[in-house]
Amino acid sequence: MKKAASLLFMLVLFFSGFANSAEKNPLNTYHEANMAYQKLDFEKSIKLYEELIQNKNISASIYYNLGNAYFKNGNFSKAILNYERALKITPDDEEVNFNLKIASLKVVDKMESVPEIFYKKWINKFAAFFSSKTWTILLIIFVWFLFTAASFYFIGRSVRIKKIAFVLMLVLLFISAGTGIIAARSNAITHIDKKGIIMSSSVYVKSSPDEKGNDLFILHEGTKVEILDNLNNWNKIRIANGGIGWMPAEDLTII
Amino acid sequence: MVIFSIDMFKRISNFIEMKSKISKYKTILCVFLIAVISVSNSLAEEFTATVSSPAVSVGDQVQITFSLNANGKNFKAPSFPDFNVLMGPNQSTQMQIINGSVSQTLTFTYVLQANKEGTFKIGSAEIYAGNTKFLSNPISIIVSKASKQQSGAAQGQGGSNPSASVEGGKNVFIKAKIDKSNVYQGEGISVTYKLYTKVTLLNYSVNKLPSFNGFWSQEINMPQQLEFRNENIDGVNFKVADIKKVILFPQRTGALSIDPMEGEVIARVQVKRQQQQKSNDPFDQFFNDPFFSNPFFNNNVQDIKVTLKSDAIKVNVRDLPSGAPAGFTGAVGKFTCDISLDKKEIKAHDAVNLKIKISGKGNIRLIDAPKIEFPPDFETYDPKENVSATATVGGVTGTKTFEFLLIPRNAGNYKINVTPFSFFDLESKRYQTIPSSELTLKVGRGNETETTVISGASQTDVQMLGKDIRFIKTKDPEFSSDSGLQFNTPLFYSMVITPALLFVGLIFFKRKKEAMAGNVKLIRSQRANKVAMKRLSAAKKYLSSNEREKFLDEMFRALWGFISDKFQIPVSDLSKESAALALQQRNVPEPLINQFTETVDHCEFARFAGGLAESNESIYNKGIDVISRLESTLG
Repeated sequence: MKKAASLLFMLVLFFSGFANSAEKNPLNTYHEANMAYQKLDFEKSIKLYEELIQNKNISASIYYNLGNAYFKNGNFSKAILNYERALKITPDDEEVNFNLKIASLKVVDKMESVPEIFYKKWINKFAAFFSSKTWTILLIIFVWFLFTAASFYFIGRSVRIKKIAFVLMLVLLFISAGTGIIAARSNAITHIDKKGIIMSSSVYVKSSPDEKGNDLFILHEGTKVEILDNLNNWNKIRIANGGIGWMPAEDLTII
Repeated sequence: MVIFSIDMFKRISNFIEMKSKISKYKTILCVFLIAVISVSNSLAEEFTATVSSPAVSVGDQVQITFSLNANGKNFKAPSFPDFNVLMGPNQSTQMQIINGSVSQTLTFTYVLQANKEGTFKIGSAEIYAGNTKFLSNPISIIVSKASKQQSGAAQGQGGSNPSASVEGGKNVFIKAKIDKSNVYQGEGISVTYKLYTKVTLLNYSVNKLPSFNGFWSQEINMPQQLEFRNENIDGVNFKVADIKKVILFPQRTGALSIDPMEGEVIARVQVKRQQQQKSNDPFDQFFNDPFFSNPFFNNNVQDIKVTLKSDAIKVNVRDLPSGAPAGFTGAVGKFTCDISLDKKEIKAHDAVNLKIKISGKGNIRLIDAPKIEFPPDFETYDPKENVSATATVGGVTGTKTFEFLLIPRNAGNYKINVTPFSFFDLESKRYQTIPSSELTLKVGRGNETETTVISGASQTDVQMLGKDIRFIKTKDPEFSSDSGLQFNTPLFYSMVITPALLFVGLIFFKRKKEAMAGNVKLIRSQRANKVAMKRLSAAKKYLSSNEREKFLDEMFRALWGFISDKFQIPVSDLSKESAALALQQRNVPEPLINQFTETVDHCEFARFAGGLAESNESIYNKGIDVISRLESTLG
């Protein structure tokens, strides 16, 4: 009797779970959103994509498509935000980069970015090849290889094996160190360095985190800023040309 | 017959011109008289130089005439280094026929202009009459400093009715009156020019208007006709009229002087000529005779042109006190200020007007536009200024408006900061600021097409604008969870540290194994004797039970096992030679080595030869002997 009850319970659980997954299958929602986009019903596709993201279905494609839908709907700042989010997952995606470039043309603020030091530029370029996760996995794999080679060097009985292991060890040490630096940078870009997109049509950037602060400059929607600090709903930001100031946090959405 | 000498007439008329205080009637009369006098002139040949006026002022013209009362040639004029030659030489010839005898006069005329002060000598001119050379008499001309009265007087002759001009004095004068002489910069000073007279004035005109250097002036409208009123000055009744009223605003600090005003009146006065004109000229004295002046020509009344000049007035202008507020743009007086936007809510790219209206009393025209901080994405234009002001003796009142045209280019809520308007209040001698509320402007989204134009996209950008974004991705997405392997997480560190730990463990294990292996050898070596003894005792058992095969086996194992254990040589590798070598290496004495090999040989022999060999007991004893000896030697 007890056995039968538990079996029944499991069956119910299974079916309910199945039904649930059928109703909220992210893939179905995704296809539905894509269909809406193709039928030029951008409002609906935006709603569906946003729903997917709210349900923690994170994907570069969803961000990219959502960005496209916002772009077509005329909301360029949100388009830029979602392209940037997609780039966080797939930094080297050509289509995302292309669309981001087009959307950025609609941004009012045009500024010369402060040039980076050459090695930083190189590291950033490398970091953009893979996602932060990929870089981390690569680093771990190389570290494993490194210690394998080291083990062979120490255990190896014949001189030939020891020699090969030693050379491998050196090469892997070098590669791991490089991968480690890039992985750290990639992680910083994705997780630590907070960037944001300005969402209100124009916002005064102040010298101090309060309304009475002096106005330093005005930023407009779609501009990407780096968030340096946060204090009482005020964000300390830095813009591409190096200008630093405070702005209300609500005018900004973190990428 | 009337003899008429043009030359003489000219000379005389020049004199007359110079004096210029004789009426036209007299001139004509004079000409007649001179003509009569000239009859007496002798006709001898003479070359003379005459000057129209021996004393002139700088800038005056002077005529020099060289005349020869004969026919002449090769005229050579002197140089006039201190004069400008305006005209000349003009040559003229006159013929006179008197009672049949002909006389002629040749004249050369120069018109010179005196250009510097001093006494100058004009040298002799020379001319030939026939073969005789004649030299003219040198003349000297005194050039005095130019004076305005003289030039004014010269102008006075122009042809207007009165032929005399005098400076104004006690009877007629202009006086400038100011309401205050110690003012702040920008504070209005009311200046009134008044004409005082005791005599009847026929006409009035302004010769020179003051230029008011260092002031900004605002004129007060005056009636066309002078309105005279009576005023008593030091017991004397004067008729007074205001000629000109002006409000002056000093533009710089320090002691400024208000220019005098120069005017001209024609006054009808009773003149006593004798006193006025004393001259050495005999003709003048002649004309000034009472006979001429009184009964026939005028009734004791004459119209005189009088030049008048007011005094310059000094004004002390103080600088405004320091500590002017930011919104002070030069306004001095009392003002109100109103700042307004014509719309509160507009769309991007629409125009909006910001109007600043300043009204009040003071230097209204001189006020600059207040400073305004426009948001940077506003297109702004220079303000349109508009002033309406009226001046009265009390000061200037009016309104000045500034209109700024603004075009916001982007949507948003904007604040426009106008620095509050400040002015210097003359009553309280303090700066006053009119508080202004912050202006807010709500800008809605304009037309999208316009935005792209305005956004300042460069040429290449514009080309890009034509392109559309790429289409969405339709492949099934790879969902990535945010959790998982990430840099700087415990999982990451464990993954990195694991191989390191494994590596360390491996090395540790190897070391331990090696250490262990080392111990086994030692123990084997230590236990070699024991093992050998055990085997020997086992052999003894077999010996007693007479199991020959097993006994020999045990003997072999005891002997070889001992060497194998002692020297860690595998049993398989052992031979008599290798054993001997190992023993030699351990410095085992030769006889003992031989004894060992012999024992092994005996054992082998016993094995193969059976009963022919030594007895088992002797083999056993030899074995015990050699092992114990080796044991004691090796330690």
